[in-house]
Amino acid sequence: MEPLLYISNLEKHIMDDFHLGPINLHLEPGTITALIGNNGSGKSTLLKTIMNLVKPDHGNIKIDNKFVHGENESWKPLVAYQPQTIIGWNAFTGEILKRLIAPLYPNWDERLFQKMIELFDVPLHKKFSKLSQGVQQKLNLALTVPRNAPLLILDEPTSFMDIPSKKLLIDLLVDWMEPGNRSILIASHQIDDIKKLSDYLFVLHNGKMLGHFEKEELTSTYARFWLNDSLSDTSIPGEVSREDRMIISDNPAETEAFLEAMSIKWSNRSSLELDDIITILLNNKKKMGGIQHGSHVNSGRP
Amino acid sequence: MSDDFKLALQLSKPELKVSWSSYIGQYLLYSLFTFLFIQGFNAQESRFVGLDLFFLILFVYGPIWSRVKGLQFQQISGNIWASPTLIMGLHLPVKKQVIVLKSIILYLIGSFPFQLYMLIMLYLISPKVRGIMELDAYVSFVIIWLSFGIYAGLSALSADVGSNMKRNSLSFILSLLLIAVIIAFIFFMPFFVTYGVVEWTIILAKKWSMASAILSIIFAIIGIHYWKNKMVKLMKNTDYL
Amino acid sequence: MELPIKISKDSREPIYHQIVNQFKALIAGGQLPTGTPLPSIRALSKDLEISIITTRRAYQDLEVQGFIKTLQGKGTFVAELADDLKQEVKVSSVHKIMENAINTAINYDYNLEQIKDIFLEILHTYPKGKGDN
Repeated sequence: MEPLLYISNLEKHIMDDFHLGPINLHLEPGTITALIGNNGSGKSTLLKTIMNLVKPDHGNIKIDNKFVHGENESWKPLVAYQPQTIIGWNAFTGEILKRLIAPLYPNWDERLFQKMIELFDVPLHKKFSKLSQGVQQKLNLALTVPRNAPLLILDEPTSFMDIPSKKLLIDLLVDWMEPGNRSILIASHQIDDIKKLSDYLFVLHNGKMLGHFEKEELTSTYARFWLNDSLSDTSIPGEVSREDRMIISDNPAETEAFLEAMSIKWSNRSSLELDDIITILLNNKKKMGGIQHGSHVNSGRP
Repeated sequence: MSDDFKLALQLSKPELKVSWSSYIGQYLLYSLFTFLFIQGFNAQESRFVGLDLFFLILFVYGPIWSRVKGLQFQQISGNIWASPTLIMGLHLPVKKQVIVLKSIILYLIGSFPFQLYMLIMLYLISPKVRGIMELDAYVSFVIIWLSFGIYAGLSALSADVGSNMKRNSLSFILSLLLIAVIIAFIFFMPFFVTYGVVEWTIILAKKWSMASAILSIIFAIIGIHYWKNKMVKLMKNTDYL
Repeated sequence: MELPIKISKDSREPIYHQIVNQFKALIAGGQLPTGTPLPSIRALSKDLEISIITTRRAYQDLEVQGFIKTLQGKGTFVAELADDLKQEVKVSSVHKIMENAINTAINYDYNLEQIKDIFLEILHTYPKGKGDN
């Protein structure tokens, strides 16, 4: 299938101290990708580059096979983008904003909009600047998701929202994905978004891409072993961290083979939660100073 | 009407809707200036150079000043200041040309009628002004200044687009110097060339009514195109981080 | 619709396999009768917190093996099963669970004779009437 979003060798230097890329990423229709990274890893910058708000130094971005950074802007109706901080809405009410935005998208879903306004309990006649941050995000979502553009880009859409609303949004997005030809790229620190919504994880660290992983593939790459006895400082293949008798491995097969060969007994082997894996991914990068490691890091899926 | 223009009009509606209070403010401001300029013309014998300065400032920066809260310049990030609704437009499926066209339409709506109002009132109220210029010369004078409001005023509008050129201290000092030189020039102009800016335009309007009016209109048309393209180009090269 | 499907991420059995087997058991056991609509791939992925790649693979397996059928534009439903297929699944799923139990016991260092005793003891104390059909 043609990728809906295609990024190749994207690079961007910002000021003197930040370098994004090289980034390679393909998104297929029907999938949800969570964009994950430490604070300041360049997630928002990447999303803004996709939206042509930031111009790349190198590389290409195509949406539905149309170059984003060219003269032709016909790709724009194919993307609905919710920035982390919305600019320019303060002076307007929800009602005015809807009348501005809805006619710009041919597939605008008025029923979904009304449904979201009702579920999230958003007042449409209040000025945007007078709404609390959580309600602003709700209105923002209600004005973004119903655009029904094939590619939905959300930049930390729920950071100020209450827990029930976050759950509600996950259900709404699951429903929204039903037609099967839409895609979501969502930057989020919410573990529920990552667990319940995402199919793929795209991980950034300080501007560098650590990989684009299928969720179960990533979870199966890690395992935790509880050994019967504590070990001396023998290094174990695959080992990424050790706490007394507990060992975490990013290559369980090798680790297990080694333990068996050395006849080291272990009482339990379990998988890791996604948040633990993300922590390991991002923390290990910090220690290793941004050097690529591990065989599971595949830069850009075929 | 082209599709771009139609869309630009459609996009300017929300801003018009929330701007009514600023338009009332504009009306009051221009009324005040009408009064001020009448005084200025009366004091012309004593060379009131403030008249020139106020005229220029009003026609260049007046329309940008009086925006309602929420539409005023805003820091977008780091060192970019831009019009917030322009950023909003960039997030939507709207061509850059249309975004710029919308800004220009709103600029003209927020300046042209008020400037025209002021110039008409000036003629109706002040016997002094009527004494200086016949009606045909005054029409030419009005056209000269309204056109100036477009080709010079749009330069102030182009700041809407924002830019992220790094502001180093040298360029800052240079731009301050430039402004100081311009102000000084306006102040001392009468000493070098006998008359001030406003007086010169009066002379032009009286001597070559037709030619200066036509030339001004041509400048205004060129100005719109120039600034429109300039703003689109600026947008293409700016990183809205 | 919430299905009584529980996946274990610690198990060595691949996740899609776990889903396939549990669906088979639910269908063969009659908890999911013929024609029951199943959740969409996306909805099930959300409930199980897995990617649609895994869920899709499970559904494809189930469809190939004739347990479910997809009607274009309508969704996925439990298919009609031949009785011998039902029987086969029942036998194999009971077998599998017993095997697992025995594995666990062996991990705790019981021998086969002891395991047999445990099994008979459980059968003995099993509430009367529940298993008499």
